[in-house]
This record gives sequence, structure tokens and C-alpha cells, in this order.
Amino acid sequence: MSKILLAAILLCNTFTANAQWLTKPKKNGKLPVRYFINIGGIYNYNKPDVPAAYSNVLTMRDNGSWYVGGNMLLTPSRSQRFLMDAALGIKLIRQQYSFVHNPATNGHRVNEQLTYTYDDQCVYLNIRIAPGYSFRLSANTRIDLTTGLSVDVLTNPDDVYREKGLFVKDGSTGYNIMPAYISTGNTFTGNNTEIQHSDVAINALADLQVAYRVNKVGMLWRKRDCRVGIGFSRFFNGNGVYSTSITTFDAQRKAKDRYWLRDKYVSMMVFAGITL
Amino acid sequence: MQKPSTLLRSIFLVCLLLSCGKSEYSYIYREIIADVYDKQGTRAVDSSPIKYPEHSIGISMPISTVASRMQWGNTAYALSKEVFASPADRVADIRVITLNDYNANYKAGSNIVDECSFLQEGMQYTEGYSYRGPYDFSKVWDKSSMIYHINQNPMAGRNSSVVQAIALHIKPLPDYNKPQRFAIALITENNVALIDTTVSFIFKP
Repeated sequence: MSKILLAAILLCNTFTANAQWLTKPKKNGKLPVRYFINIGGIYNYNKPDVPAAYSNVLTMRDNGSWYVGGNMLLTPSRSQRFLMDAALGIKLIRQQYSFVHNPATNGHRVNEQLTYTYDDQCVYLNIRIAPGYSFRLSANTRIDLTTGLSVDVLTNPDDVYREKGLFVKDGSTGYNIMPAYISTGNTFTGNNTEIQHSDVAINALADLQVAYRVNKVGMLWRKRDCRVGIGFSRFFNGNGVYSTSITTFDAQRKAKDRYWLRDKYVSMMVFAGITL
Repeated sequence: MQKPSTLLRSIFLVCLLLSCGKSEYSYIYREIIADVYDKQGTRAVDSSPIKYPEHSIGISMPISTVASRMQWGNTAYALSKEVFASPADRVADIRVITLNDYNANYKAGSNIVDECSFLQEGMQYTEGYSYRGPYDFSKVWDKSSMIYHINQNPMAGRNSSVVQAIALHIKPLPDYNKPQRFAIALITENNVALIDTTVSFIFKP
């Protein structure tokens, strides 16, 4: 965790160490950058994360999550039509899945349907770089359309990782059986038959945001810029998406079936922000 | 030309991102197979005679990998990774149950594991398999040492150093020329019993 944060700070430091132009006024006297602080609510659509063939066994709930962060809106051109949005924030993504299994189907002498539900809270450091275009509605109102890449860096891999054998008592012998074994974490390999989880999860998401921006609104002791908007994102590439692999076993503990889910990070965000 | 400090920062960053931690996989014993062998490693078939001083009961314990994880460890700047194997359901007890009367002291149904010596030599492991070599009867472990050895986390290549076969030798003298048969049970920490029985065989002096 500390290494991830250190790497992020170094990365930002490397990019911005010589960027004095950010605070240099343009010819019209305005600064080319606006600093916003934002909060947002995220809706994660998780239906595509589980293969349809597993729909009776493995289900993943859609969940609401939170976002808080700051962004720099760079408008270097005088007309302010073209802009660059750079954001750094924290995303809290809740993951919740259920597994339903009847051990008798694999030859166990336990004839009851078992249901297991698990809940995880993933905390991501989110970095977003997105160029865009600003549509002028009036002197002080604009629609900002930005699209680009958003990078999620998992900060709590230990909290997310889970290995768990599911044990049930066999009443006929008094011993337990292990009908299934669950492994949850962030997928390192793309092989569905043998998933390796990794503590380092850095994922790039394709990202689109539309924001309605109002400039010079009297708020909190002085005039500030405000914006509200909506964003969409989806997994693009990376090395560690949230995933679960469940293997079921027969009475001789031979692996029978394997089920898996893998988050595609399909989400919609509603956000609001004001300049500092 | 980049400033030296920028270059140094970049190098440090690349090293940080490339540094590897340890990789760990978890396994379970999926079943056990118990067989009786003579000193030359010949497996007893049903009702076959075995010389008592040279006998051993071999227990094969194949494994299944159930989870695998690469951890962000403390081995910064290391470009190689360490692989550990970890049991997901540790062995807590071993039982050797006599299915026939063994001698006057141990009737059918007795657990004689405390009267057994576990042989530590002769096991050969390869990828996913084990096979038997000649045992050194002078080097033996008791049950608790054997269980400790089975459960320890070896650092090695995939599956290669996980204990997948053990053998035991019964110390008390048996009743000769009578059918003998044993049930071998491994009880795990989660109270799962992995059980197999040997063939029926006959001890000869």
C-alpha cells in the first residue's frame, strides 16, 4: 500500500515538477486552470460480470458506491473550447456476490442447498486524464464533454483477498465435507481455469463524462465555478480486476466444476463539484 | 536533456513498479491411497504374504491447487519471485485403525498410530506424482513430527516439495499367518476425514 502511494506521488511529482505555466495568467488575465473538488455517487452494473451459464449458481449484485476527489480543468486556449481534465480521487467500490450449491449433485451425502454471500469494499486511488470539448451555452454556462482514460489503483488488497473452504457436517459420519473452495481477489492472469490473484491491481478504464458548468456563482464567501455531471466508465485494460473463482469438489475431493466472475467495471457516476 | 534528479526519480519509479513480492499457492489433499509394501518397494496384492520386519504402509496423498496469489512483498527491487506452498486444510491427526485383530493387545478397531514409526527417507517427488524408493528404517519420525513436516510451508517450485506420500512401519509384533488389514485416516483441521483401507495381507516372520 505504501509503495503504491509513493509511486503515485512520484509519478505526479515527475509530471508537474516544472509546470509553472499552470499558475501563469493568460493574456486575458485568467488562469488557464480551475481546481475543483468533487463528490459523486457511483452505480456499478454487475450483470455482465458473471457468465450467463452460471446464472443459477453465482450472482453478483449491482451496487452503489462513492467517489471523492479533486480535478484540474485546464483550458489553455483563449476561447476555452478545448480543455483537459486531470483528476485524482478515491473510489469506494462495493462488491457483493452469492454462491448457491447443492453438494448432493457431486455425490456428497448432504442433501440441502447451501447459500453463501460475501461482501467486499474495494478502495481505489483513481487518476483520470481526459481531453475534451466545451460547448458554450451562455456567458457563464458551459457543457464540458471529456473522454479518456481513468486508472484505478487498488489500495486495500489484503481486505479484498479471501481464501475459504466451505465446510458442512455430514450427519452420517460426524465428519465435515468440503463441497467447494472460494478464492477472491484481483485477477493477475487472464486464465479462467486457474486464476492467480495479485496484490498489485492497476486497471485502466475507458471513461466519458458530461458536465454542466456554471462560472462565477456566489457561493461560500466568493464567486466560484460549479459543475454537475454524469460519467460512464468500463474496464479497458489492466492487471487486477476484482474476481472470484469457486471450485466444487466431489466426495473424494476431486475438482468437479469451476465457476468464476470477473468485474468489468461497468459503472455510471453522478457528480458535483465546486472550485476551491 | 533530463535533469539528473528527474532521471533518478524515473529509475526509482521503474524499480518500484518492477519489484516483485512472493507468490503463494494453497493446496488441499484430495484423497489418500494406502498400500502395503515390502523393503524392495513391491506392493502387496490381496492375501499376499509380507515379511513383518520389512513391511511398510505407504500413503499417497495427491494434492489439488485451490488458490494462488502474488503478494506485494518486502523484497523491493527483486526481479525474481519466491514461490511458497501453503496447505489450505492442514492435517491435524493421523489414525491407523486395525480392521482385524492385530495381536493380543490390539483387537480389531484399535488405533495403533502411536505404535508406528513414520519413515522419512525414500520419498521421491516429481511434478504431481510421488513414487517409492528404498526406506531407511533407521531414520524415523513419530506422528507429531510427521504432521509438522506435512504442514510446513515449503518454498519451492510448483508442487515439487509438498509432501505427497508418507510411509509408516508398525512396531508391535503381529499375529503371524493371519489376515491383516488397516484403515488409514488423515483428519484435517476442519474435521474432514480422508480415509483409505489397505488390501488384506498376511504377515510372515
